[in-house]
Amino acid sequence: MSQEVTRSRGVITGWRDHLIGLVLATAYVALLLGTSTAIGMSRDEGFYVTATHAYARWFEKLAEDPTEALTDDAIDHGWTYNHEHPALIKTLFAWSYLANKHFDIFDKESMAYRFPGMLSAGLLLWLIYIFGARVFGREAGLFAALAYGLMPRPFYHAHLDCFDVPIVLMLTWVTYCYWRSLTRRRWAVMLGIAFGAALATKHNSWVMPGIFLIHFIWMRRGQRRFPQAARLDGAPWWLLAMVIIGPVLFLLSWPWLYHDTMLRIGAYVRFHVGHVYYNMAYFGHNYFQPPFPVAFPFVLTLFTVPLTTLVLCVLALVFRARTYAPRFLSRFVSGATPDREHTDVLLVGVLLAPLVIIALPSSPIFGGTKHWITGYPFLAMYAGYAVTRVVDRLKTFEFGRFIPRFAVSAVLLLPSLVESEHSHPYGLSHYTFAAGGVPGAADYGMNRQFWGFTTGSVVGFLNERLKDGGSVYICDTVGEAWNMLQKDGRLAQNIRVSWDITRADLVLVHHEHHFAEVDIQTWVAHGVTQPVHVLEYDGVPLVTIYENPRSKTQREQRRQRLQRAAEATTTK
Amino acid sequence: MIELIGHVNVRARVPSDAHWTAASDYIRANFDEDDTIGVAPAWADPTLRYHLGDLIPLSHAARSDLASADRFWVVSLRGQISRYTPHRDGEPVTPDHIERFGPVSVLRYDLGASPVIFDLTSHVDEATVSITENDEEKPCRWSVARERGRGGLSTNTILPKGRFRCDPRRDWLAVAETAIEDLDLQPRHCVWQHPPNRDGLVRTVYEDVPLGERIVLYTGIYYEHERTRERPPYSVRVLVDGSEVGRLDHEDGDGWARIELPTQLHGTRKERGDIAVEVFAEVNPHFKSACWSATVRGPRREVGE
Repeated sequence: MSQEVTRSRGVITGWRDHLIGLVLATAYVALLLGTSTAIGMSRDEGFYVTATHAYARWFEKLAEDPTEALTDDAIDHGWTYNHEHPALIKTLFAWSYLANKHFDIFDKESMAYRFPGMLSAGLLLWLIYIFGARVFGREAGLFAALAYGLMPRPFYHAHLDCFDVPIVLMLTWVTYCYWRSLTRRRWAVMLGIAFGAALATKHNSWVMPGIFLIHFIWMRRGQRRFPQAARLDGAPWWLLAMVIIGPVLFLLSWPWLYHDTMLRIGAYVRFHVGHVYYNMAYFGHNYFQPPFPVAFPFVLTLFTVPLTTLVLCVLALVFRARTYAPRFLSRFVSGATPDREHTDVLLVGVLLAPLVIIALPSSPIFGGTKHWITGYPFLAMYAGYAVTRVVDRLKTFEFGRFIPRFAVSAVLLLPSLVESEHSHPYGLSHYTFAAGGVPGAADYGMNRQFWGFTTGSVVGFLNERLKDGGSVYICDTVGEAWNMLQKDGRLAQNIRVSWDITRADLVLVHHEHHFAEVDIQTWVAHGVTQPVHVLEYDGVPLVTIYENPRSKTQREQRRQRLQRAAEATTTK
Repeated sequence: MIELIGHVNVRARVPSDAHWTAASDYIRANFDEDDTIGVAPAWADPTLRYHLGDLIPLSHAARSDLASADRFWVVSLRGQISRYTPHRDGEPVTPDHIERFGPVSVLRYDLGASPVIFDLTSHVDEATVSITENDEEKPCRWSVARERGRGGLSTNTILPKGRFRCDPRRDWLAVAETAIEDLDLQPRHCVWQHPPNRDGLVRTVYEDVPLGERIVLYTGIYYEHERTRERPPYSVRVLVDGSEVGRLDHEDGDGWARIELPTQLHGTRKERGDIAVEVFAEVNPHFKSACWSATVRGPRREVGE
């Protein structure tokens, strides 16, 4: 039986590691910037653009007249919109927007709003590398960072001006700080700051103290097996820091809470505890109210995370089962033994907790994978660990000695690279090989998209079809997301939004199961069932576009008039 | 490597536009007016309608069954068969003809002569409609509405401009040919006929129409009004020459419900007569966005009903 102490592979990271992290982050942000304009703005991004403008106006007022800006009326004016989410990330959106407004930094306006999210994604890869290197070694850390960055769904979300990737960064940072604080007390202060930032990012952060408390109790009980001198300090400084520093930073970051504080915190909490349910298709059934299927997050993880990464993670969890198995079970499993910090208990906890929370039958499932991708950095770290074991094993064979270590990692990353490349710009519609790809998932009746972001992929058709302008019913896309396509110069200015299917020149239908209603309404309203355009992804329809017969007739008449005029000119 | 090969395999099986065009051209060249077209898997329906939508009217795109067609064409991808594939003894029948265009197969099922003698749904504009409330019957007049509603998610069924209006103050009390999204999110070509107040009813009468042997009646409710499955039922009653031949009490959760009713009572053999369809809700008509579809049929066909 091999006995391996958990962090025997882990390294003390130094400036060279941070340089690698910086390169990873910079390259990833550059990749995201280079690919972002192909993704149309999503529904939620549209709301945050509106919030960004309100916040930006308030910051401008703050610069001009701080006293006036801090009055209750001014705060309410600037910060009431979208007060169901904390302010930190939207504040960064606003600063990025203001920087672009004054210094004209970005090629496209949408990038200004999206940049803080992209930056979060880049920093996250940096952090995953450092965290992974410290726990499982540099090779594992590097693989983990790349494997996470090349997961199709997180890659999609990394482009957006939303909180879903920033909260992954924050929770990974919080976990890292907590872990470091177990051996170095001063990290507790950093943990408090990180937790404050997480609280100010999204409500996913609320559960972190609970996860850490479970780990801490587990770890305390496990100290008995170590000599007295090697045992860790039993005082929960981390908890003190989280409880004191975290909420203070949360309050400071959110001017909306500067008056009627308790009342507004109550409203914020109530919003999320009693969140409304939206539609989500899963194995052919449209779920719109609890109970939701318990297997949902696990099946979606299987169907959307590249299978190789997933298998590597499972292998690692098997290799390391002894490090996190309860004591009464640990005698039945072989492998590594726990370290003093019981790092694996922590990592397995933060990996699984988001999935378990969404698996509760009452938890809303409408956000798909974005609600539990906070666990994926740790999934990637375990995959990285498994790679090191695979390489070690290969090296024991004669032929293996000639294979460079990085080549194995590269081969194991290739499926992720191929899947992610193919997923762009349809990340939310992408399903991996485990689901049979996009058509396989459609056969299973899985959700095909949400947020109406695929409108960005039909702008070419819209520009061509409505050369002389016209109106479009935009289905699940919001007005601000549509406006952004025009501000970015992707969509002609003379094509306007219509919210009336019966009068619009073109009608878009985003294919989600429950949007069959709009499809059918259009057939009746226009008297035809034949679309003029279907956007497909691997043969699966994502968007159908119908043309109002009245508009078609007018277009034909216009074309004939122009033709006659041209003929008349030629005759003369 | 398995994942990579699998990925390549998935993409290789995606039909190209040329495959679709070749399959469509083949169907178009062999299509008769009593044929109908479907697709398998159902998610490819928009692509089918893009290529062949001019041959797929609303009544076919939102069909209840295959009864009105003599032949059924299916564009099949990934080796799948249509949900409407005719069955014999519980097993799907073998297509009478198969043509392949790369990953796209065209299947043809020869169903035999259609048993449908008269389609009540498509002829609703020729009917007479009335509303009875508080023991008073009033005619619902045919009119062309200025507005049809704007449409959109959760806005219920759109009615065509031409419709019977029973009460100008209550837009939903109208009778018109339309299509709804049923409990399974499927489109259903049907007659919108919302029940009025409790104790009232809306009646649609078809005068002097063929009676055949039976009426096949389907009933449904707009998806969002049925999916919570918490409201009382509504009823559809069918009368032939003033005598009730049957009724379907539609409970929430029934989905697109079917019933067959005889048109020849007491051993009679009448060629033509009056058929009335009455819709009412005995408990509560709210959220009963009712729609029905019915056809008069002759002897049962072996397959495809």
